[in-house]
Amino acid sequence: MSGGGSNDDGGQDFELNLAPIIDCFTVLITYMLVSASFISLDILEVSVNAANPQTEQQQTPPEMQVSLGLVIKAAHELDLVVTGKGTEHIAVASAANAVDLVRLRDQVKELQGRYPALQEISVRAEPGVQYREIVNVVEGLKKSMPKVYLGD
Amino acid sequence: MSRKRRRKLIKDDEVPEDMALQITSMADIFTIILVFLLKSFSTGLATLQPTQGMHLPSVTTSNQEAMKEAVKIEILPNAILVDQKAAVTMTNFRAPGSVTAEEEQAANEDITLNPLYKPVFQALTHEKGKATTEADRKDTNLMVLADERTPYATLRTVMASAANAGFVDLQLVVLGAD
Repeated sequence: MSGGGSNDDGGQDFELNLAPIIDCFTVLITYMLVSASFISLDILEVSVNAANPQTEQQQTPPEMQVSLGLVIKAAHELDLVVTGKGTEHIAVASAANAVDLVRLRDQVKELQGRYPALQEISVRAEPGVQYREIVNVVEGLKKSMPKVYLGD
Repeated sequence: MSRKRRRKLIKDDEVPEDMALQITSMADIFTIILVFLLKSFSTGLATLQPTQGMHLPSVTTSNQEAMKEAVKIEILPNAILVDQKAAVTMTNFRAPGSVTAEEEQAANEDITLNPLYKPVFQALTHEKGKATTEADRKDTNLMVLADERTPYATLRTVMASAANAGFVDLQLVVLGAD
């Protein structure tokens, strides 16, 4: 008769076989490394201007209702159009052969000070303006304007 | 036999010929790498692969906006792809064939007359029609991957097609700041 602690009928020694686990992991990791993109991508959310709802404007009194538009012109120039009781055009000249985003930001801040209800802007451009410039401007505007609309 | 030689013979006999491979530590490392890659994939943007030849515009600051699963449209110099299928071919971002000045003027005033409008509109409507759930049918998000050299005239036509097909919320995919 054997003493206590015999392994014959009681607990079984279980040895984990790591080889198949390593095989699975190798395949999974190889697949993910091959299919992953190492370019860092980001998202800019805009809405199409055709669907511009008037909900926020409806809550402000008519005399305070203004809309702000931006036209990106050729030669990196911008034209801010404030439409309310009348129409006001504010030109933003280019700086160092590029769009002057600092001046644009200051102008938008000044307009937001004048019209606190101004929370959205509509952006369009001349036909030849390239997409990279539009993205630059939209990125700059998104820092001060929660909602940006794109299109006519 | 001298004592030194006998000790050396004994030591040589004790050295094992086969070295066992320690795969426990390899399993640890693989687990960590796998968890890291799964986390990267969970953000969604890791699986987005711009088509070859596409030069996305870059931004200078990180926007931290979460990507929403949506129909994808790509604007390349020679084609517009809707969910990786060519909707229309182009030549240097313009519709193939020559367009007279009157036709161009008419297209500027009525965007639906632009030769790019109809094929893109049909492709997007077809994608919308594939929706199986009510939530998908009401989804207005569209992911836009456009080459940085795309002129606004082409982008405007694509946006008009998208808006009329029911996609009014655009996610512009750009190269993030490092």
